[in-house]
Order: sequence, then structure tokens, then C-alpha cells
Amino acid sequence: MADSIGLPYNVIVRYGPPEEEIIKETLENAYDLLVLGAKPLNAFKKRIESFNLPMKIFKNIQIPAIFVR
Amino acid sequence: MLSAKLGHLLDAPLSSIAKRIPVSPNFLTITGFLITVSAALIIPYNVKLGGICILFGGFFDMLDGIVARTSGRATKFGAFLDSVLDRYSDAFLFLSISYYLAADGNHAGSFLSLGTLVGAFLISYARARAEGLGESCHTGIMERPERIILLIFATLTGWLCSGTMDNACPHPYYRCSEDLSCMESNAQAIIKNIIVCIDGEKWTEKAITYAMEITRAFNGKLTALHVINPYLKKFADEIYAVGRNEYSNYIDKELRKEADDILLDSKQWRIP
Repeated sequence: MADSIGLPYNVIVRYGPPEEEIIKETLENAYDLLVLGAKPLNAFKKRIESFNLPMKIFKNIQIPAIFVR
Repeated sequence: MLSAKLGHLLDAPLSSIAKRIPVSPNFLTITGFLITVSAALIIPYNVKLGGICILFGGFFDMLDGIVARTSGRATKFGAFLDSVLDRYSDAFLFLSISYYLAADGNHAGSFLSLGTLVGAFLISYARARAEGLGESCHTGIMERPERIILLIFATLTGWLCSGTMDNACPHPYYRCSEDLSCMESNAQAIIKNIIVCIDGEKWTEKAITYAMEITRAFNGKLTALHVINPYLKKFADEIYAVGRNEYSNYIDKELRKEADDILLDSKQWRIP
């Protein structure tokens, strides 16, 4: 468990369109880094923003972000 | 296709200029080749500038034949030199494009470019072979003029797509390696408050692992965020005239159940 190795962590649940809520959450609290898992996309879908939600977040976010594909 | 229709169409209007060019057509051929090679060297760094260079090279390529024909200096050696240098410039262009795409991580595009190179060479081979056997083989849809025009068009308009969003994205788009040990050696940095987004999908697990490793390395605080996406409720207004509230409540209930599952799942996180 994450607790058992001494990692302090808490869980937040928000309600709404994901990209907007993630951006809002990072604006409301002082985070230093955003880590986001992302579905592997092919080159074509990567260029189209409606497929590439992480890119939408990436463009509008104020803090450093890591995307793990 | 194009060369058969307009092959020598430009001879007449350009002949007056061509007659005034004092240098030999072979010199023009070699100049055009050198310009195309420089275009190939430029393409990985600046695609548009490379396209302009191809345009210049193509112009010289066109000019040498006209000069040779109109001034009566057409030689067998000139024709041979022109064809061979054309193949070389094709090779340089497609290799540089394939390098450019591969460096961007677009391996499919790189592979396609190499395939085009093979096709381009096979056209010449098939023709030469057919002529060697005493037949004529002037057919097909993409000869060298069309190929070069399409290439110029693609490089100038940016349709030569790269795999990344380098124009649209204000930040550099980094690729992570699997090795996070570099972070642990630098752990006095200021990253204290880390947020990770979880949605229960399988590719998120990797992100959670990253987030936990980073949190541990920086001795920070981890926050997991799950966003419930009520997009299905949009359809309630459109489809369900009766039982709209029931539908809405049902969606809410299901989404909450899903969120609970994800949160329960988060209790099982382990650092591998």
C-alpha cells in the first residue's frame, strides 16, 4: 500500500469536464508538478486536440507537467 | 504524366533566355544537384527553407535540358549525367526527410519516405530495363517532376507532418525515459506538492508509478485527483423526455460507484 511505505497522500474527487477541473484544481491549490497518464496515440491523433486531451491541459496549465504515455 | 504533356512546352518561351546563358548545360546540371543536396542538408533543421532550396534546384534542373536543346549542345554524356544526378538528388532528399521524421519519432513516416525512395529508383530501373530490351515504358502517374512539385508543396505548406506538435505547443515536449534515478540524486529541489490524475485506465498506472517515485525522491506530498465526467448527462435533455431525473440520478450513481472503485484501487498502489 502507498500508506505502508510512508507516502503521505490524499485523494480528491471533483465533478465536471476533466480538462477544466484539472486546470482549476491546479490553480486553486499550490502544486509543484502535475503527473498525468495518457493513452498512447498515433501521430495523426496527436495533432488533433479533441483526441489529445493532455495537450489541451498542457497548453493551459501554469505548473510543470509530466505526461506518461 | 506531366513531362509527357508539357515536357518541351517551356522550351519556346525560355529559349531566348537559354541562348543567352553562356555556361554549358552540364555546369547547370551540377549546380542544380549541389543546390538540391544543400536543400537535403537544410530540411532537418528548417523544412520551409529546404523547400525553397528544392524549388531552386528544380529550376536549374529544368533549365539545363532547355539550354542543351535550344543551343544545340545536347550530348549523350549530358543526358546521362542529368539522369544519374537526378537519382542522387532524389536519394538525398528522401533520406533527409526520413531522417527528419525519424528524429521526431515518426517512424511510420520515415518508413514511408524510404519506401518512396525505393519506388522512385524502381521507376528508373524499370524504364532503363525496358529500353534495354527494346521496349518503351513511358507510363505511370508520379514521375520526377510531379514528385518534386509535390515535395515542394508539402515542405512549404507544412503538410510534411512531424509526429510532435512543435508548432502548436508553447512548451518543449519532453519524452521521459524509464530511468528516474537522475531525480533521486537531485532530491533537494523544490518539488514538494505533486498531483496525479487517476481515472482507472490501464495507462494511468504508469503515471501513478512515476508520481510515487517522484514523491519519494523529493520527499514530497502526493495528491491524487479523480474527476467525475458527467458528459452522459448532456444526453438526458435530448433523449429522455420521461424519466429524465431518474436517468440523471442513475448516471450520477454509476459514476460515483466508478469513482469509489478507483479510490479503492488507489489503496493498492505499490512501488514496484
